[in-house]
Amino acid sequence: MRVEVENVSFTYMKDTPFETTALRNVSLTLEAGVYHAIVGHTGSGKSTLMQLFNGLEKPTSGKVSVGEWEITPETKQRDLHELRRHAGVVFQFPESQLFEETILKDVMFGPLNHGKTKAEAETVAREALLRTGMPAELHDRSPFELSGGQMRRTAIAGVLAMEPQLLLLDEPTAGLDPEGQQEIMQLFYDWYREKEARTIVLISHDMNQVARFAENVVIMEQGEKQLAEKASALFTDESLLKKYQLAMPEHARLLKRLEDASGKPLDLNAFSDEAALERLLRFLREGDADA
Amino acid sequence: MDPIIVEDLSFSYTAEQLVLQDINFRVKQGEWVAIAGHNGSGKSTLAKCLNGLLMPKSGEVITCGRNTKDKETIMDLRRRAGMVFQQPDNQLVAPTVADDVAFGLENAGIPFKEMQERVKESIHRMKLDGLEDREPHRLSGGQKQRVALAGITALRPEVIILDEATSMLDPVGRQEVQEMMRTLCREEGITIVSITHDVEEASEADRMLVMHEGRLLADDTPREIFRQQEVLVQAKLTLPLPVKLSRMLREEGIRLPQDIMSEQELVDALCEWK
Amino acid sequence: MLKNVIIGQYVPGRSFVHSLDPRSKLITIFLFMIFIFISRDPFVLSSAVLLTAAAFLTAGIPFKFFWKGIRIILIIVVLTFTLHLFMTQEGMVLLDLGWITIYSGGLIEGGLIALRLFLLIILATMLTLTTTPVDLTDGMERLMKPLKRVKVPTHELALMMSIALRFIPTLLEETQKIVKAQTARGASFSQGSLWKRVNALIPVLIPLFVSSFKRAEDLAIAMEARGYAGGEGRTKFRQLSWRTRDTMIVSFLLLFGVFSIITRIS
Repeated sequence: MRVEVENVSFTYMKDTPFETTALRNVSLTLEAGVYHAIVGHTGSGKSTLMQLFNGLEKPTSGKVSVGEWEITPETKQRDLHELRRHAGVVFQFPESQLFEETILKDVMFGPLNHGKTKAEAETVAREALLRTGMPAELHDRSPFELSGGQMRRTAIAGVLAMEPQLLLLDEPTAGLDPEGQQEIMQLFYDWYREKEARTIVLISHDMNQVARFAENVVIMEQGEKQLAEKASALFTDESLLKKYQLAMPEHARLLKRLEDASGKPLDLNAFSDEAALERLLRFLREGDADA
Repeated sequence: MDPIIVEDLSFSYTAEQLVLQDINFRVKQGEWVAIAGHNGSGKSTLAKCLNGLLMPKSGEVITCGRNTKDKETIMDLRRRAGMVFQQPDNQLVAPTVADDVAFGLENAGIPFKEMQERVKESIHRMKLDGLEDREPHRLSGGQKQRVALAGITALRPEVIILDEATSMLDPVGRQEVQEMMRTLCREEGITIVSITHDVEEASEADRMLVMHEGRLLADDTPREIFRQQEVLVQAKLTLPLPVKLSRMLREEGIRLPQDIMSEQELVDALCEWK
Repeated sequence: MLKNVIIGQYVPGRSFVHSLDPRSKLITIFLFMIFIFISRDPFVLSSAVLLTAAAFLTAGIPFKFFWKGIRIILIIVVLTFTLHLFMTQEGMVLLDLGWITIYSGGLIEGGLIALRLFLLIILATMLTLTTTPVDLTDGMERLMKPLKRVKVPTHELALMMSIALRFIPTLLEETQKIVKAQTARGASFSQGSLWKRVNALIPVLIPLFVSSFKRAEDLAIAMEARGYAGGEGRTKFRQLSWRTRDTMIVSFLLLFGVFSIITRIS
């Protein structure tokens, strides 16, 4: 689903001494079928921005369009119910939303809320659990008996079971060990690749992750949109990254150091081990040819 | 005497399964030791044995010259060996920063005047000036962990144990806490034991212990452990990128030195490669 | 709606009310409440209203913010008023609809109770708005100290209150987060019958309990690691300072009290 944000501002606790402006006059377009990322420091307004995309927050002023839905300050909560089936959110530490007796029932919660019959809900729930790496023998366990990683997978299954078109991810791998992070990110990527129209918006502090998966990056700072740029262009441009105080992804950074040290121009557009290895081998072999 | 001595330590929560098995190591005064392992390797359990939050099933843990089994000295031991936990939110007790920093001092019965000074000094050392009256829930993750550190340093400890203290933080917070660890260890000579699954962070330590399935797989300098690599693979830890890439290059038949650890070393090796 | 509730929050300031010792504020409010709950004298009550208004103006709290914050709690006042209005059967009949009769006594009783509650709510809210939670617990602990002799665990009570104050905002944030997460999964909290709405809370309450237990466990371990072993031998980081203005305000209240008791007797 396409997301369009027009002149949106958002203020928390309006008319109190604690009033804080989270978003200031933000306008942007996120095309359907693309893997987007929103980056920025803590408190930059990126989480608030993302919560506008499925109507969890309504703008204080301005308009947000998501697919065929429009969200303005006047929009009623009940008009957003249907939108939420199409736009799923995986929050930071999503395991804190688990509540049912069994993990199967928990994953069925979303589909049931959206009018699926019990049998239909069970089918999609089991599918979603298998997809997230939760084998059938675990489906009748209590979510509170699981390991942290398994709880995270169950919570993610609970979102995927609603069969959304747009998936909003707010630091979905926070607190996991590197192996777990890798697996979860791959899982989202596989889901995204499955159908043309699927869209992802990822919030992450990990630039390696963002560079590896996202195609389009939006930079937020103090509630304002700073830049929307292709990931491959942003993450190979050291001065641009410096300007927004973002770390260069580690593969590109290594290649950049090598470029600086050797004086030979390198293609920095490499964000995985394989791509970096290929660039390094080419560097060494070209060096050979020169000699 | 070494501030931490662990001898033949075994531990289990239930009767059936040992979470820790025959662990032996010592930590020297002023040393920075990283204990690395993936989730469930037993590394956090080990941390909690070091200051007597958990008691060994067999074997001994002697921290700051006091056996953790000795009930008489346990309070004294905990004052000498402070601990920062993983969840920044769940270890701050008091409604403001200054009160929280004072909590340990209050417990230790430090007189009013000295307490005021120590709190002020600790807040300044952890670069929290101006946040004295801030409520914990209005702090960033990195700030919360620094408040926890300030509460510990105010007690003037010999050892600080960090139990995955950076794993819940964003990159900025992680850097803040790591910088403080560096100052405390390198400038003030406090012994640091940091439990982590971040190999990057562990590479800065003087020594690295690798845990896997409740056992100690390796105990060596990070450089030596990165050179062996197999240990890290077995322990399901991610290799730092320069180490990983030089390994992949060697597999492609490129001859590179065995002990490449940092980005700079890899770049240098590649530039000199013939 | 809940995020508008302001009782329990602290708004920093430098007013006269802010600068008072928490003990004098607590004693003042306590005395004030006793007096207006005994007195029925219109003169005493109207001076009580004036005193409250004066205190509010001195404290320098934005009116709009304050009004928005206590509006919801005022429902209790309205409810109590209505209850008294319909239940009291004294005085003249003012209105007789057959199924319900309103007496003048009901109007007076209802009005009186509503006024007292209204003042109580304003003062309690103001107390928390102008006193830091730490000062408030400290003040209470000191005032309760004599009770220690009769084995009341004053230190533990104060610590409990302090921990509660520390974690209320954290729990509110957590609640909001869980509500959002369940809303995102299609839960609805504002539709359907009362029964349905109560049921809709289960997916919020269970995760909240689970995480609170986890927090409590973590906190207990952290306190142990930080050398907490009960109130014995503990020193205090904060010391309260009782100044002339505190003595003045408490004496003034005592005078007001004597005055209200005299009017009650005569």
